Parts: sequence; C-alpha cells; structure tokens
Amino acid sequence: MRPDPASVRVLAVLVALGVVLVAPLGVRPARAWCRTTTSQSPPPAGMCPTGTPLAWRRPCSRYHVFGAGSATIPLARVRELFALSFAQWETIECEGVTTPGMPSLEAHLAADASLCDRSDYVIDGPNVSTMIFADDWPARGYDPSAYAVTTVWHSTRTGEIFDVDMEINEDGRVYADCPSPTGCADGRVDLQNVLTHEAGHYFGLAHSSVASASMFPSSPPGEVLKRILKADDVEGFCNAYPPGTFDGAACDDTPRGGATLRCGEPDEGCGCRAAGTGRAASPSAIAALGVGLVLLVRARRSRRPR
Amino acid sequence: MLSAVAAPVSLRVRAALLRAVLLLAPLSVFGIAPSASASLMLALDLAALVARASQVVVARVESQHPRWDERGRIVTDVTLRVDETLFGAAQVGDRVVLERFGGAIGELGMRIEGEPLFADGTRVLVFAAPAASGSGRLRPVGMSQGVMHLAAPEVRGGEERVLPGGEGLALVQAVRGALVPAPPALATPRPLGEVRAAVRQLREAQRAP
Repeated sequence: MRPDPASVRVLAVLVALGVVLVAPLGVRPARAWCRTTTSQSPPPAGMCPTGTPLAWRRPCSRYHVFGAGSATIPLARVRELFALSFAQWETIECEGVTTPGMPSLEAHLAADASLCDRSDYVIDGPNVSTMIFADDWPARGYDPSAYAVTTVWHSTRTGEIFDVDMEINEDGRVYADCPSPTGCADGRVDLQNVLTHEAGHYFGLAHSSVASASMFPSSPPGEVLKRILKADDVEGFCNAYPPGTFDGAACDDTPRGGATLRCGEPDEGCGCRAAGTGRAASPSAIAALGVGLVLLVRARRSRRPR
Repeated sequence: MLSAVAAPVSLRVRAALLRAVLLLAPLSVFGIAPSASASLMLALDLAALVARASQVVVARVESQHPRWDERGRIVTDVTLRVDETLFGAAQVGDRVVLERFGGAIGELGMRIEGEPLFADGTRVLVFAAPAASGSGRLRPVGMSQGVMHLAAPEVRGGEERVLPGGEGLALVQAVRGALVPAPPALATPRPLGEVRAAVRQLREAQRAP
C-alpha cells in the first residue's frame, strides 16, 4: 500500500516544520529577563524591547478584587491566593548586587471590593487598580486562548507605572485552588499559578525565554508550576528595584490622583481613601496570612547585611 | 492510517495531520520555559492559527493610530496594505485595519504584554479574525502569536524569513490541569515560501469536507 500524495504532502510539511520547531529547543539562545518598556515598536529579534523600562516609583501601591471574585473559588481564598502570589515578588531577596537585601516594594490587597469591572485610567482623577474575574471575555475583545491579561498604565515619558489592572478569563477557563505539589488532575487550572505570572506584570516585568531544565523540569502532569519564581525572575525584579531604591520614601498606597472604587469616578463615602492598606481591615483569614507574610518579611530583613 | 484506498481525502488528510501532531506532541514538553512574568496563553500551532483565522495575509505596515475605545482602553489601529493574500477576502492592494490593545496618547501609555507591536514600513504575516467590536476591524489570532514579522533574506537573492510570533507571551498547554510550556507555531525563522505552503495546505485540509 502506498500513502496518498495529499497525506504525504501535509505530513511532509508538518514534519519539516516540526523538525525545525523541535530541533532548536535545546540550543535556542537564552534570553534572560526583559522589562516592559515605553516602546511601542517591536524589539529587535531576540532582544529586549528598547525604550524606558516601566517601574513603580513609589514603594507602596494598592489593588482591589472586583466584586465577589471568582465563580469557582470562595472570595476569602481568592484573596489569600492574590496575597500569596504578590508575596512571591514582594519577598524577593536580591543577592549579588551592590547592596543585597529586599527591594521593599509592597502591593497591598485592599479590603474593599472594587466596583470597577474594566481596565481604565483617568489621568487627572481618582483610580482603582482592579482585579477582575471576567465571564464576558469575548465581549472584552480578548483572545479566548489567554488565561489573563494585565494592563499596565504608565507615563510614556518617565516609565512610571501609574496603575495596573488584571482581567482573568473565567469564560471557559475553570480555575481551581490546586493542591501542591500534585496539582489538579481534572482539567482545571491552578489560579495561583496564573496570578503569580500576572503579578510580574504588575511590577513591570515583561518576559523571558530562558530555557532551563533545572528551573522548568519536564513537568510531570499535575505539577503546579510557576508558583515559585525562578532565578531569572528574581534577577529581573532586582534589576528593576535594587535594594535601597525606596529608602526614606513614605509608604502611601493611595493611587495617583486619588482613590476610588468606581471606574474613573470619585467615590463618595466608600472609605477607600482612609482604608489604606487592606491588611488591617481584612477578614481574619487574610489577617492571619498577612501576619505570616509580615513575619516572613521581617525575618528576611533581619538577615539583611547592615 | 495511511492508505491508498478506501478513506476519503479529508479523512486521509486528517489522519496525516493527526500523525504529524502525535509525532510532535511528545517533544513539545521540552519547550522554552516561560517566565513567571509573561502573559499566559494557550499555545497555538500553525494549524490552530489557520483554523481560527478568517484572513491570512502578507502585508506592509502603513500607519498606526491610537485611540480610546468604548471601554476606556487605549487601542491602536494598525493599517496594513496587503501585499499577498494566503486566504481570506482581502485583495492585494487592499488596506485592512488591525487593532491591538495598547498604545500611547500624549504622556499616557497602556501596555498589555503579549499584544503585538508594529513598526511602520515593515512587512508582517498576519493571521487575523474579525474584532469582537463588530467595527470591521481585525484582531490578530492569539495576540502576538498571529503576527509574524518578516526579515530580510540572509543571503543576497534569498527569500524573506518569517520570524516566530508570540512575542511577550508565555505559551503553555494545560496537561491534566497543569500549565506546561509549549512551543510557538514557529520556533525559528523560516523561509516565507515554506510557511506560505504550509498555511495553504493546512487551509485546504481544513476546508475539505
């Protein structure tokens, strides 16, 4: 029996592409971390973007979870997962730099629920960093293949990050709080996995193509990857926020232009200005988690060389 | 099953596709490791890009115009002049408008990592589908996966190369609930002719009854 020509042609083309696709995987030049920049042009092939890198210029910022959070995970647990995901970055210890230590950058999970269900930014008005579980993904115009998108609003002149909003695709994407290290075996996706990724964008990191078997092993099914940052992520973060960057700066997490819980509108009587960090007003579970994180941070800081 | 008889063409082609996919699938888990900071997205191989696209064109970037959309986001309209149609309604010489999320208006910039970026005057291979807004504009399939920039030939008289798409994305696939790295549709630059042939054959295979 001979294979028919059409099948052979298709197979030949795909195999040819497959060979070129697979062959270089082990030898692709490693490109380490990149930072998101002000550039609106594509980066040179294999290089990081040009332009001014984006970064927070204040040590503290605040974000809110929209409404009731996820449809599949209780709000209290969603908040814990956010806190844990951001803490991965906040507790980074920079080594091998001029002044080792922690960058002291804090993103506070506010107690109040956001009332803003979209990403927007008002230049001269109050704003809210909102984390949205969106079940109307197609209507937002985003690609169905995306797990989440993080929108970074910034100054094109200085690269200062003004505001960050995160939209998480709950339309057809079922998230779960997967047990570690086994992960989920039922087709659901680990939410903390996704949030840890997107939190990197919150802090202005872009992307990396580092191929590292040691940091990204050949993935036994069910493994919950990327809850733990890789060395490359740490290096990128420490480049963006070297320890000492915020020495002497006051920790005020009020958004630039003032706080609100609504999309671009002043929010009378919400208490959100006074709320400051959400830690003090969080539910008990979050409070307990917050205490743990604070202790962790303090323990790490106490080890900082003086 | 490859067979000279019995199976209709579409089934034979599907069988060939399946074999090719099965051949490649075990190797894909050794893909590039996405960092924890790239936008997470399901990897689309060439067949998926073709399947989801209503138009695949080679085009030149003419201009870019940022604007506010109805949701308060900055969206940049990228006007492309079509140089070649691999499939779809656009004709050579037509102008199509592709919208990408992000851009800059005055001193305010908006960025979504993984959205494609363009440079005026350059050529791109675009896999596009109608935007959800119903405006008649197009959206790239799979964010930056659907935009592959073209590079000059490596040798004089050679062929333009198609650069891999997916800039700014951490491409993954879900395997029993876990997100594992997955390769882009092209892992390395390929000659335009090779990619063009693959796209057309995939299109034919997918259109077969």
